[in-house]
Amino acid sequence: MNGVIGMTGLLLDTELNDKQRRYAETIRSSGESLLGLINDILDFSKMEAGKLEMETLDFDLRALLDDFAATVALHAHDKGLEFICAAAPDVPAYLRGDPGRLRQILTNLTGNAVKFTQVGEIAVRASLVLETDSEAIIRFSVRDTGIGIPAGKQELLFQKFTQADASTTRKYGGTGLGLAISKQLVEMMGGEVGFKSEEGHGSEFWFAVRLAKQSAQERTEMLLADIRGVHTLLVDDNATNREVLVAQLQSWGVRTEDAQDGFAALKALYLAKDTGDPFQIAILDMQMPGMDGVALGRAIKADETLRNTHLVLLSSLGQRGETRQMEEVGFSAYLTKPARQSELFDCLSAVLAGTASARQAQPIVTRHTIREMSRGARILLAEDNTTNQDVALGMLEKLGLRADAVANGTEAVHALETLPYDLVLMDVQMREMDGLEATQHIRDPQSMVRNHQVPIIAMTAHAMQGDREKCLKAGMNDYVSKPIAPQALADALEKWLPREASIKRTPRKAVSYVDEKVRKPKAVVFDKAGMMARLTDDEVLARKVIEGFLYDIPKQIGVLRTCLKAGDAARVERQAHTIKGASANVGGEAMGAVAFEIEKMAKAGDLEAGTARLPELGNQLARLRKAMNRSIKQNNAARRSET
Amino acid sequence: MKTLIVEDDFTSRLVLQEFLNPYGSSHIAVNGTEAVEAVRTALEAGEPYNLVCLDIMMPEMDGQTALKRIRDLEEARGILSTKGVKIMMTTALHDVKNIVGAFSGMCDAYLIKPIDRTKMLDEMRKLKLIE
Repeated sequence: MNGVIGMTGLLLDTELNDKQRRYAETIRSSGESLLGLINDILDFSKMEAGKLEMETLDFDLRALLDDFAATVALHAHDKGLEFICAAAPDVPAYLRGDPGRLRQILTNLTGNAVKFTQVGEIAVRASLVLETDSEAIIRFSVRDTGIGIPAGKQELLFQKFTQADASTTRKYGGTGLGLAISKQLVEMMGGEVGFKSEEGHGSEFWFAVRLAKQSAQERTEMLLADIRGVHTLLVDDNATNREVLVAQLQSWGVRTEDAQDGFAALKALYLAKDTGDPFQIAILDMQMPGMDGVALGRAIKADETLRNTHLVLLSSLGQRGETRQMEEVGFSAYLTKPARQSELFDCLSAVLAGTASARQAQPIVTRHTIREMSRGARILLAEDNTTNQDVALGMLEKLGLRADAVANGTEAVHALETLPYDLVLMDVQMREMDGLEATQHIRDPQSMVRNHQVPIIAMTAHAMQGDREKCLKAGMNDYVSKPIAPQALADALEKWLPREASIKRTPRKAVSYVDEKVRKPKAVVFDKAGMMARLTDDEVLARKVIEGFLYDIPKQIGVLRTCLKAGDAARVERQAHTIKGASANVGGEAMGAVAFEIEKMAKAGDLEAGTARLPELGNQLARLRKAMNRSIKQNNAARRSET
Repeated sequence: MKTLIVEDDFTSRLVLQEFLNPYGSSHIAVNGTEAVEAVRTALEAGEPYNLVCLDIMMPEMDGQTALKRIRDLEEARGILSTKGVKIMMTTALHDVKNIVGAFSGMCDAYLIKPIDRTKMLDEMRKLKLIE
């Protein structure tokens, strides 16, 4: 499966025509479904045979949720969905149980949520139901804003091989095994599972499980002093996201306020400054309607009195490579959504620490620095299957990295004796010497390997639960499962590639504040839909506004003509601006665009050009009037036919 | 609710008036000078406005200057900006300089033309002007 999925992925990155791309994408998605099916059936047959055993391992719930979120967020963001994943601050982090199975249940429920949601958000929350000295009951919930489940179909849901929509033309694929497996797993953990859903209004699936607590004390306490009491502003248009992050920040003692858009943020910033308690940090969401995170960042940095606020940008996964731009705007750090709790904490501490060494150029903190920073890294790939070798090498190449490939553990050890590698990607199952044994050799201080501490990342098949622990026990640092997901590989490399391997960074370019060009389709004569939306579909009001506009605007054009004749550039600019604003009110986009041209010409002092555009303004008004009349006639006709 | 609409364009004025009609009376000023005068008169009469919708690019005196003058008038009477009239910029200008200028001049909200009724009512709700 790694061969099929991985090679198709690489194929998709080559030059393909539309048809070829469609075919290749189908192969990949079919491959992924098949892989899912294989894993499901494997699990199910184990359950039926009573062979499925739960592991009991120490794990960090927050780290698990963070890892989980990073993989799911990609799919959610691909569909334009907001993705939120967080544990309530009182949920204990250090637990004992089967983290692999826990993650599997979460993956299944969240996978469904992504599949059945077209717009809105998906929120994964963990909350504490009950806690004793030794145990905690934790409730996990996955809430979406998707299509929901019709009441009549709800009892079918947890049966195997059934789906709510069983028709042959089902819109959504799937085996119908996922929920049944999840239910069994939860029950094996001594928990329960349930959901509530309303057709058309989304669903919430939840399960509660009992997990043992580790006796070790939580470590974070002593670190908190760093950021406790820091005055922080969080700006995000998504209410759930704000709620989650505010709760998280407040649990650390950070004095947090939130704002839902750029305007509210600026207001809060000025108010705080005026009351003598300015914000030390502002965390800005990148994707906000109206003024986005970058524009807001620019606005803040453009004002002398706000400039000392440290800026952190929150952005969706998959939007990278803009680090330098962020730096130019003045952001100190850059976090991808959903922000891992540990990352958020580290990031805030780092940003604040930057204050101490004021003049030193702090590198922007980012999770996606591979492309920018580690191109010079030397990587060793140990993998005996040539197809898998090609897949891994191809992915590394895409990340701007190169690797030497060897076919087994013996060769890997030999390579490490001769060359100083920065990192090893190690297949676990290889002929001659397998990955585990090779790792033991490498870590053995008696061996001839040059660097016994070289980071080793295992690559192993997904079906092998519990392998991760084996790898870590053998001395490997991390683990990616096959088929290898590019993002998972990138994340692991990012985490483990030493920073010394980084190449020299290109010097900064001169700061440019040129506004990003807004790519707009050609302006329409009459954007009726837009106007109606702004007027909350009030036909009577729309009629009134249109009539008022048509009555007044010829006069305004007359005034513009007079100003042009008089050669008064400032007045021309203002008058053209007025006409632009009036046209915008009635959705007269094309006319507004001409007025805007004249406004800009006047600003540049070119009244001749402005005068030359005046007839066009008249033409556009005539076209707009015609379009408006036509639409009013249509409305009247529609109303007549209704009655 | 008592509102002052400061707007030189007829159509924009009409739209704002229609939006605000259900919530009380609105007065009109067509430039910054008139606006400052209207606010002063209302303050002196002890019947200050609850809301000022303020365009920026206008003849005589622009909205940014008017904003500062209005806040100065209030300050001279011991009224802090948080207790003063709610000022909502209603303008087609959305460059950084104007937006930052308006907020540093202590406006309460910034709406970009063409004004959307839903958004405007949302802002008014946030400013506790309406339920």
